[in-house]
Amino acid sequence: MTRQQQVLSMPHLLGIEGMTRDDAVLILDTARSFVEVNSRQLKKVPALRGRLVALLFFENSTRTRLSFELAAKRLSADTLNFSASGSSVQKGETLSDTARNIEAMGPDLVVVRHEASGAPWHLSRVMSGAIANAGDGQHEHPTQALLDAFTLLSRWKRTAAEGLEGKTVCIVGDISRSRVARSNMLLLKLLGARVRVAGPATMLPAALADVYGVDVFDDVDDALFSGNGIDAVMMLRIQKERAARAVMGSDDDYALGYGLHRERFERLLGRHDDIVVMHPGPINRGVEIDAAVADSSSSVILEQTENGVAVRMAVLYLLAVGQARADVGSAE
Amino acid sequence: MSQPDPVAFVDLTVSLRLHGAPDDETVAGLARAAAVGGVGVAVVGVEGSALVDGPTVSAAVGALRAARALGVHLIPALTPVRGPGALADLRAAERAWREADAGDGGHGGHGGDVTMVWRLTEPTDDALLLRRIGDLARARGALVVLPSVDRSLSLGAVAVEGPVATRLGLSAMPEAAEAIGIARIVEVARLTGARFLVSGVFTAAGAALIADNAHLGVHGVVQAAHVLLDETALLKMPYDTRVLQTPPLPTAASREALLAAVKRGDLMLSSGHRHVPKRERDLEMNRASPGGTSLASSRRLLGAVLSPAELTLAASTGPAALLRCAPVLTATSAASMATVDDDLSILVSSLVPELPA
Repeated sequence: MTRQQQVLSMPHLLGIEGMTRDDAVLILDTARSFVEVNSRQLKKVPALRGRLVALLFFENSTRTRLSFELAAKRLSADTLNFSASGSSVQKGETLSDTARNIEAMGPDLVVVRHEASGAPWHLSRVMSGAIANAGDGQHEHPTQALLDAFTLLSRWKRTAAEGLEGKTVCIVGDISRSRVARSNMLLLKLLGARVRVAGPATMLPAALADVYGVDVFDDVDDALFSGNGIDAVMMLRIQKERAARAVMGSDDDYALGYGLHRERFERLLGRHDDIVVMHPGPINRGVEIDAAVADSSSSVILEQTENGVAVRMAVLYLLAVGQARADVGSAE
Repeated sequence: MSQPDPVAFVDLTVSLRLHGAPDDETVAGLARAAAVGGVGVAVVGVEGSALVDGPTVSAAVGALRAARALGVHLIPALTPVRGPGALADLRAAERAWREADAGDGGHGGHGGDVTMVWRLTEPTDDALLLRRIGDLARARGALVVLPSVDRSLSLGAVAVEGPVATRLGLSAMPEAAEAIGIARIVEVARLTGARFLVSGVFTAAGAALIADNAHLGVHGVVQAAHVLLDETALLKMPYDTRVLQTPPLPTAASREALLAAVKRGDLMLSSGHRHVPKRERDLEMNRASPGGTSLASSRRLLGAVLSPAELTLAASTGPAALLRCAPVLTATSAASMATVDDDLSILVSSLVPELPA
């Protein structure tokens, strides 16, 4: 680890795949400093003054969009908001044409969420600004994984450099359709954690263990309680909007079979009284997680949201720094 | 001693385009591309108003006849609307084309012996409809061309289930989608005695089913791109619509099995899916149309994996026997085998280093 590194090794944040551990540590360390900024009375720094951040949300989003917007504003950047509803996209405009029109406004940084896997990669070829992936199809959601790792490190009072060695995290839910799961599997492994994933067989994509090096279970109790158990559990939202066909029974069946209901949670607490419960939101209370569990002291769900701002400030800042270095390099 | 006539390609599921005119989907454009590419016989899809509307049918028949001036025999593939109306559509189309073509021996001026081709553009999960079409096809001596996959397992898929699709987060289908689809076709062939041509075979299991059931009149064709590229192309060029294919690119193991089946003569070769216009390459993956290399653009590349005899069997004499036509270039055909699309040829070469650049 070269601790002197102050710039990301990549010009864009398209995903966790390909990210080095140095990059991850740099982002998480930088986020730590922005947590301090966010605790001040005046929660603003001039790091991106004069820079334009375009927020392109081709798919609905609440917390990620607000989090990125707040992050940009706390860095003093100007923001350009775009959402697909009511835009030319609904009139048939292609992603590339939309991008070229927004490019004409000169954004320095582009945050993009899109329903198609690979859309940020596509934009990185047609736009000159640095791209930050805010979620693409079923592929990746890197800033969610970064804020999740940041939250775990904070909870366990570890530095990013210390990583997550010795910890086991279990991800439960619709792994097949989850970009959050994909990014988390990659990042948690990168930081040294053991990762278990669990869900109904219809929600587990092929070759999961081979691709990600995770332990795969279709029985959630095996995943939570076998061996030495787990240190944290991440419940995923059941994404009814992405499931083309029924891949599960009723909500009640899912809650009973795979949800973190009170009985299962109390059994977990009996084995690990410091168990950490996570959820990327939005929550289907009573389906993947019981309301009381979501609101318990083991839950870090609101901390995840809070940390999301600092992590996204770090991502925007570091992408801008990298871009500035590249500009200087090309000018020389 | 006279030289033997040069053998021309016979393309069963053609979508040829002239270099420089990738969006020309007319019969005339296809005929010119076929002539330039050395394709002597090609099956051309006929759908919409050209199926049943009298004057339009006559115009289409005329266009097919005109292609013969270029030395290209174009065989119409009557393509009905999707769904339960397909059978009625086929009956009406067959009648309209028979009447329009009556003056020249039938089937677009190719003489009465050439097989009539009916084409279903989507797989049908309706076994009864397939049976009725099979019954009618047997009675008329028609060859039914149809895709292989079970639609309920393949809807929206752009890749095969496995590590590549999982890693890239792509919608995927299991390879079994093809085996299930072909198994249904095999049983309908057994039931009706009709001849079927499964288009776009892309799995090892599918190739095996075709080989095992050829005696029932079930045949298969594999797209040129599928014996040249496997799904790892998606990793080399992630989310690049130029490597998007329908059916999806095969696994490495299936590509080897497909190639072996072609070498044995169990599968025939075709040009593949339609060309991807440049404007569509700019789209995100879930909106772009699938495309691929054409047979003409790939012949040079195919030569690297198939011997001349294997290529002739798979792309010329085999399909000709199925269509009951002669795979011979006429004097007016230009057997230059010029590439139809250099970009795609270069793309394949770049993805498969062992192929000629």
